[in-house]
Amino acid sequence: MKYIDHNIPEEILNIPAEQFELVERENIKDEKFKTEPIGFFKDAMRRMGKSKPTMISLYIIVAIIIAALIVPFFTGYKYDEQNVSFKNLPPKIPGIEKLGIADGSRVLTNRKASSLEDPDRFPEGCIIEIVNEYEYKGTPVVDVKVDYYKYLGVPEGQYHWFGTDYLGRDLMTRLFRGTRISLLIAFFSVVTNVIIGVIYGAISGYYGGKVDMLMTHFAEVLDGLPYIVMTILFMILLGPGMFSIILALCVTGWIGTSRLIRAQFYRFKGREYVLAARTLGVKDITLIFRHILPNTVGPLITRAMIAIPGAIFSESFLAYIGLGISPPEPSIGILLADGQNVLLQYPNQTLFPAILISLLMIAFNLFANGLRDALDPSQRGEE
Amino acid sequence: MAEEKYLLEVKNLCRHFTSGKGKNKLTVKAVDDVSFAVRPAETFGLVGESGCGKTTTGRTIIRLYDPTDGKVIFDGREISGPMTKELRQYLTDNIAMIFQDPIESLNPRMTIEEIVGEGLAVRGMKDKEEIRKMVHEMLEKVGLTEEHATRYPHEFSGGQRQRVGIARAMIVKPRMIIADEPVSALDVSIQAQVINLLNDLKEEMGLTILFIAHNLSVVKYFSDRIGVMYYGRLVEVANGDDLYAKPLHPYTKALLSAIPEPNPITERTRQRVDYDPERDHDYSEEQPSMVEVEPDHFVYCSPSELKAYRKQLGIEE
Amino acid sequence: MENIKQETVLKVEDLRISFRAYGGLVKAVRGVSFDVKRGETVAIVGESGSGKSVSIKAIMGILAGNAIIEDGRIEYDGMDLTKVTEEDFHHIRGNRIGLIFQDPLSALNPIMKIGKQITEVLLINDKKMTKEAAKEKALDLMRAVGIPQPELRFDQYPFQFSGGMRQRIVIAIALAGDPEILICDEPTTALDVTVQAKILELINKIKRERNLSVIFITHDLGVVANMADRVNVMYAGKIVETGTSEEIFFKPAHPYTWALLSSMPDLQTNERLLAIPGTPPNMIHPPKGDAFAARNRYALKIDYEQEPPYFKLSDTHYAATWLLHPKAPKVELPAVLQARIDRMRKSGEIDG
Repeated sequence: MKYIDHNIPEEILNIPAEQFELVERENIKDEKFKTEPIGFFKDAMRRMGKSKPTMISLYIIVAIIIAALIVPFFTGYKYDEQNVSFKNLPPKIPGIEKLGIADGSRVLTNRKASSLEDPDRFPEGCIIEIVNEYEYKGTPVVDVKVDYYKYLGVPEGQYHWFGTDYLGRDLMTRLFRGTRISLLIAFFSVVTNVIIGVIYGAISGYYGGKVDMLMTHFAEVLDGLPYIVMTILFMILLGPGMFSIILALCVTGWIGTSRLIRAQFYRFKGREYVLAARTLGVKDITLIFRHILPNTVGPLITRAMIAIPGAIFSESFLAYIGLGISPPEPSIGILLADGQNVLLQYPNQTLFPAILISLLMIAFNLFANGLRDALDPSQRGEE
Repeated sequence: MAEEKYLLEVKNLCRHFTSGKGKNKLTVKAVDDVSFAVRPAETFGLVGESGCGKTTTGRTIIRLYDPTDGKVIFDGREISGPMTKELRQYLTDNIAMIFQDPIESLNPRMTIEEIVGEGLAVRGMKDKEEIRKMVHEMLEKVGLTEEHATRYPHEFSGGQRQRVGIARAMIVKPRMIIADEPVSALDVSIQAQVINLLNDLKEEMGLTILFIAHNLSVVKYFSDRIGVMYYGRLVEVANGDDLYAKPLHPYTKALLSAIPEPNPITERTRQRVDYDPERDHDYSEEQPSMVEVEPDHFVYCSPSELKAYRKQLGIEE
Repeated sequence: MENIKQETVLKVEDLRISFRAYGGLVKAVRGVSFDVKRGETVAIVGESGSGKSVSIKAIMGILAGNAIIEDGRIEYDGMDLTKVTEEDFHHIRGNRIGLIFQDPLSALNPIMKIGKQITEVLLINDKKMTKEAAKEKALDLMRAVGIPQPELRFDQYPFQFSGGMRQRIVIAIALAGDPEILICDEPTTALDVTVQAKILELINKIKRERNLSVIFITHDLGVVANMADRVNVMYAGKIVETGTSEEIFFKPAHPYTWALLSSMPDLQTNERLLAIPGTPPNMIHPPKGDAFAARNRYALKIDYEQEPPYFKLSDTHYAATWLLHPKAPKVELPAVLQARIDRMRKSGEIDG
């Protein structure tokens, strides 16, 4: 090697000669993996765990589900227990009542000042303060803030956290029982939709050609019918009840899923690994369920998650137009419809169901987004 | 020639794709009247540019596509007829395929063990332990270890994935492999690994290989005989050295002249030949066909061209 | 090769680029230096992940958002391109430095007529140019890059062109700004060999006509031999060997270059290929010492300890391998490679 430059620095020239021994290696193997093996779902869950909004929304969903399951047993009231003399009570929560909110108080307006002295009308100690005093046609009139519980003679120690409705039923019991029913309806309708959609879309997408054409046209025709009319007709036909609502939500609900699955099948059935499995003699059914379908799980779960608040909303809408489940069974939609009648007088009756449904919608949507990102194979990390 | 024993015979194979209906109907002749034969334990290279139908030919032979016309005979049995369960079984027992894209060709949701072992499971092997053992042996053969078996494809590099693809094809002990561009998606330094591995396996298992690629250098290195395809047709078939030393068809000449060689001296002086079917052939009077110009050297040409080719080779009538 | 005193147009010095990625910093470029002189073609050869494309993107100022230029300078026309603002880059890109991508289809706007795509660049670069003049110039460019019937083609959309023709349009667009440097990032990888040969000829022709400097990125050594005056071989974010085309192909000194040269068959190869074992290192944790050591058949003990400096073989030829140290054992070229080099030399003599 005669080309070597003469200006090699001393410290490099002086490296001891034994450093320059050849490392004899005949067989150089592939590097060992430094990382632990990790399955697809484990990896997805781990990545989901890192996203704060997803986890917070998951906690909210879980909390709401648990509350829907157990709260109705702990309120001490039954959802259909009526007490007309205690109707439309404002919220009253132990502990917080001392802070001046949710203390069961209500402002009564346009009361004759003289009536305040009448213990039959205003029982002892129920008046908290007089908010406003004025005269109307010469008579002194007051707006008075009263402890409504004492005013109606509700026994001491009886609390209605969210108040009561127009029949005196405890709203908290009804709200959480209603949530349970709404979630059940949503869950079952979405599951049914997913099952129908997956099977329909898989067959249509996998086999393609004439089969696909016929199936796609049928779905299009069905989808072309006005959804509300279809649903209403179904409800009328089947009569009110949970089962008929679920059915009504399934009439056209599966079409979106089947389209998604069909598109995914078209995308994946030509993939080389599917072809490879075909050349190995793998059967159609295995190809569909083992090789292609798992790749649709990400978008499918996301879609299902987004469909759940959608179904809750649809149920509420049906209840709102009077096609809900049969009373006295509550659902979020029925509570909202009832509350809406007295929105101006007793806003609390609308407020709590509205907060709950909003929370559910936001949490499910955020969670679905997070899940989609976590299940997206292109975002898989290296570890 | 008739007596000679071929493992695979492709006779006048056609595969047309149609799209549209009525007036808009469009037929693409992806494979048009292609005939060739592969001897046992031989590597037959199929070379051509993108869209020339080489991949379609391979896929039609293994029946990922149904042939529009023509016959494919494997070991004396016709495999281009109507698809039955039994034929599918026969095909999968005898022919396996290696695919191009190391990312696309492995199911991302399955472990290496499941991917490689699937062929065995399909064949009714129930014993999980035995499958595992065979998978491990096969992985060892392609230079991977047991440790890799529980991993998912995304953890592997391109070359490693391609070796997994080879293991998957080999584990069912096929008699023939169709390798569709097995190295073209790999890095240069990795291509040699895969080519060497295929060569070793070929020797060891006495495999017959249909090697499909666009890189003529690789095809030439790897194959005993080479077929050159151009727009759905096979234009020249010869053994590798003949094809390189005395190409006859103008397209083969053009292809050979276009390949850049890692040699700065020859590269600077390389003369490229163009191929233009309109200019290079006059088929207005004579119809071309596949003719054996000299032993084992076939060219798609017309009678007058044939004469010229024979003259060029110094063969008298 | 005699005109070494040519003017240097672009000089990259000790460039270091990392990417923020999931799992840590990917050290994509780890101290790359090279220069480009007027009218010459410099090739950068390497595998995917070797950092060749990243270096080029830094020159064009089109690095991805998660890239960090940690150190180094890119000197061009008295400027340091690593510090130029996006605003100023608009005048450099297209205008002074043209770029040709690997995939011509993604480089073109699918819903804009190709004539408009060329004239647009002309009009942006020369505000005073009239539309008619721009059209004339665009037609000239289309003729120059060998597009038949340019008047007809002017009003067509990219999808109406074949891959090779699209790449010609991309070249025409790159030339529209009349650049002095043309960067080609694997411009023929997606094309067929016969089309590739035509495009390479075209690039060589316009390079000669316009005295362009070309930076050519590829992994195909055949293409390098065809195009390059000087070659930089990259591995794991570093240039491991640099030299003229002849030096790299006939007197390679780095074991990686050896391996690269002997790992691909040419049309005359019959012997077993010399594959490079193993896989490239994970650049989140680059190995200590020489990054190639783990895959090197000729690894020395010191390769695992210390990064080799560049040893000088000639005025233009440097290689970063401890094998060139005076105390290192003498290692012969692999027999396969030696045979091939002898064969190549002979073929050179025959051809003239």
